[in-house]
Amino acid sequence: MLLALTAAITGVISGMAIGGGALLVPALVFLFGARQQVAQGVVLLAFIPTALVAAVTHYVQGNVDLRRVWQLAGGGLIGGAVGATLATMVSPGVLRNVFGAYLLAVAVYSFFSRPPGERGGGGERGGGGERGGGGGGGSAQPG
Amino acid sequence: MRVKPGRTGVQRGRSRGEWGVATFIALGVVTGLVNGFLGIGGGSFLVPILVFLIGLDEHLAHGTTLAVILPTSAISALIYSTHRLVDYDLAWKAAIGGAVGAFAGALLMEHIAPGLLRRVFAAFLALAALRMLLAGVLR
Repeated sequence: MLLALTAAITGVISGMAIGGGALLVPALVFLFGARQQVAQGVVLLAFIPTALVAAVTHYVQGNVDLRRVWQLAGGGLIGGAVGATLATMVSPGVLRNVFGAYLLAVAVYSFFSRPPGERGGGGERGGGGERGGGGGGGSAQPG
Repeated sequence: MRVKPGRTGVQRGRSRGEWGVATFIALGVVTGLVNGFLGIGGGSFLVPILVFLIGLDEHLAHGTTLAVILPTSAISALIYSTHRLVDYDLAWKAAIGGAVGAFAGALLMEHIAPGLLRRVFAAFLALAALRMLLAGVLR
C-alpha cells in the first residue's frame, strides 16, 4: 500500500515530465531495502505500463514525433542493452554513487528550469494555433 | 529563456533539416546508455536536448521522449531480469501505482502550473541524491 502510494505520487510527477522513477529508486533502496541494481530493475520494468499509458496519452494529444521516435528508439535499444549490461557488472555501491551524482544534477536542473506550464500566456509558445499546422492532420487540441 | 524564432508557419521539428538521422540515432544510444545503466534518467537527458539543441516544442519533446524510453526501458528491463535483478512483487505494485498516476499526471500537466510543486520535488530529489552519495560514508 505504501509502495502503491509512493508509485502513484511518482507517477503523477512523471506524467508531469520530471521523472518519477528518480524518486522511486531511492525509495526502494531506503524504505524497502532493495539492492541498487534491483531497485533500478524494478523501476525499469514498472515504468513500461506507465510509459505506455503516458505515451498513448501524449500521442492522442498530438505530442509525439513518430519519425524521430524510430530513429531515437533504434539507438535507444542499443544503448539500453549496453547500459543495462554494464549495470550488472559494477558493485551496488559504485552504482549507487553514480546514481546519486546523476540524481543531484537532475535535481539542480529541475529546480532551475521552467516547464511549459510555467511559461505563462501565449508568448513563447505562440498560443494553440501553431499546433494545428503540424503534420499528419494533427488535432486542433493544443495539448 | 531562449527565444525560438521562426516557429509559426513551419512544421515543428521537421523543419530542422540540419540534424540528420545519425544525430538522432546517436542521441538514442546515449539516452539508452544512461537509462539502462541507472534505471532512470533517459528522459532527463533527452528532453532538454530535444528542446534546447534540436529545437522541438516542449510538449512534443516530452511525448516523443516517452515513446523512445518505452522500448529502451523494455530491453534494459529484460537484461536486468535475465540477471535476476528484478523483484516482481515490488514491480507489479509499483507498475499499478505508476500507470494510474502517470495518466492523471499527463492530464493534470495541461491544467496546472507546477512551479512550486516542481521545486519542492527537486529539493526532495536533491535530498535523496545526497543520502545516496553519503550512504557509504554514514554506514
